[in-house]
Amino acid sequence: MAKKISRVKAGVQTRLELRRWQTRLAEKAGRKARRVGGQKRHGHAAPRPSRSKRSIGQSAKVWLDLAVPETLDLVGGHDEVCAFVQQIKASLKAGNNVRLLFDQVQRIRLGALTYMLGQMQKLRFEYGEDRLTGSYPKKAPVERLLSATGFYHLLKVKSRDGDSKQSRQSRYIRFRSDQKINASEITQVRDEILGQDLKMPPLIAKTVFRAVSEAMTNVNHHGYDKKSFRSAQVAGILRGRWWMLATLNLTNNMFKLVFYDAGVGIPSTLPRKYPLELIRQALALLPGFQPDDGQMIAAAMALGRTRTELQNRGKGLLDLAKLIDIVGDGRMRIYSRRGTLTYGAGEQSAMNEHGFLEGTLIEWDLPLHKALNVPLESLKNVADPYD
Amino acid sequence: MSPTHTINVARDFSKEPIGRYTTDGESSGEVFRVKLLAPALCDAEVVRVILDGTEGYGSSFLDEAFAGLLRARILRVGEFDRRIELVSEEDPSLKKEVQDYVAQEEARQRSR
Repeated sequence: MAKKISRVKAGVQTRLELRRWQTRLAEKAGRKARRVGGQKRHGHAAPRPSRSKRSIGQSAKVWLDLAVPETLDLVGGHDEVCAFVQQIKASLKAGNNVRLLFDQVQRIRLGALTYMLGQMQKLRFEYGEDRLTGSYPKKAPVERLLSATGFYHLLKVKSRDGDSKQSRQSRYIRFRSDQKINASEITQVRDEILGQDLKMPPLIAKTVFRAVSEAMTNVNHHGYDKKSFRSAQVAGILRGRWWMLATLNLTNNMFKLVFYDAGVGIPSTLPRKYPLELIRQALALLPGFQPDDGQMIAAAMALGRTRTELQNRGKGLLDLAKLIDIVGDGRMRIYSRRGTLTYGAGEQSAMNEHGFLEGTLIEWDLPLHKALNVPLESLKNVADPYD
Repeated sequence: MSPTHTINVARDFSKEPIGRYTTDGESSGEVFRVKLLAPALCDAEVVRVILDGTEGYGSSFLDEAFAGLLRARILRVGEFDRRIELVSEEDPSLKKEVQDYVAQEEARQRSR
């Protein structure tokens, strides 16, 4: 009997030991995850997760849940998108593991999605692959978008419906990303999104190539600053990196292409290429006046049109805008740091936002029938069941 | 020295010309100038460059490939139009664009 009690005691002790060991292992894993990137805990920059979410013996992770805003759209929601990305960054920096809750998300626009995508991949490189994940949204089109563009794949969230549930009316491509100039990605994205049934006239197809190829070249030349990387290892993964996404919607008659780099941004790189006096001249600003970020992007456009005595300065952002000129319609938007520039319909406007967008994001919105040079009626078909 | 040498960019170099410098990749403007254009100018009085058949051209490629001939002292100011013949039926604006880059470089060199 005494032997039996002793065996039971020993069993209990073993289980207790096992539990203690699991707890120690979980804490060690947590400390290790927080050490990735060499960051110290950062005061109260981000909310801390509740201890009650810890479950011993299951996952060692304590997740900080961040609710994604209902609408993610850089047009009209620029500050909210930027603030949300900053919140994720601050939370990771503070040592939390972050879970993005997409439950309430109603709409995500491609520009905001590309920015999120690039930033999420960057943050995973910087703070650890397993410290950022996401939940499923309630709205089917949002889930389809996150799944088809590869956002879930990036966050290692298992797609529930696969990537095959695309309708004929609304097409997405899985995001592309590379660290070098990659011409074949441009043509592949263009051909993949158009499919076999749609074809661009050669001149417009060539102009798409021109616009994206110059965006890639810009990133390779001066998109990133080596001082801005958290470590040499992160620099090795991020230097020269860009992200690209495209969608095509036959119902809305819209072709969208977005290109993003997480570098230092046009307002930082322009003064390295041109003297400040020349930038002021391009903007017709008085001497001594410091241009804001929006004006810097406008200056980058203007200097492309100006003949300067500086060697091989290229055409600035004009190659990017040429796509709008050739199609004869549509809109290009450039977001960089706090500046935004909108180009289209023979007009150009620049402004300064409150929110800070890291890097440079270029978005082209083209009426599809004009990009394909076909009558609008030829694209009218059955309504998209998902939209 | 033969009178004319023809280079077809898509056939002889790349269908996807992209980037400015060698560091941008094997299909950059500098690589095209150094490997094809400059040697052809040594061999022939006139080099005919056929620009058709590619996926397109960015301004960096065009500027470095052609205006770069003046920066690299392969051509002198005023020589470009006599020695280089550009052909582009698919996008006739390319010829004028290249001529603008060359004119800009010539103006820069004259002003020094």
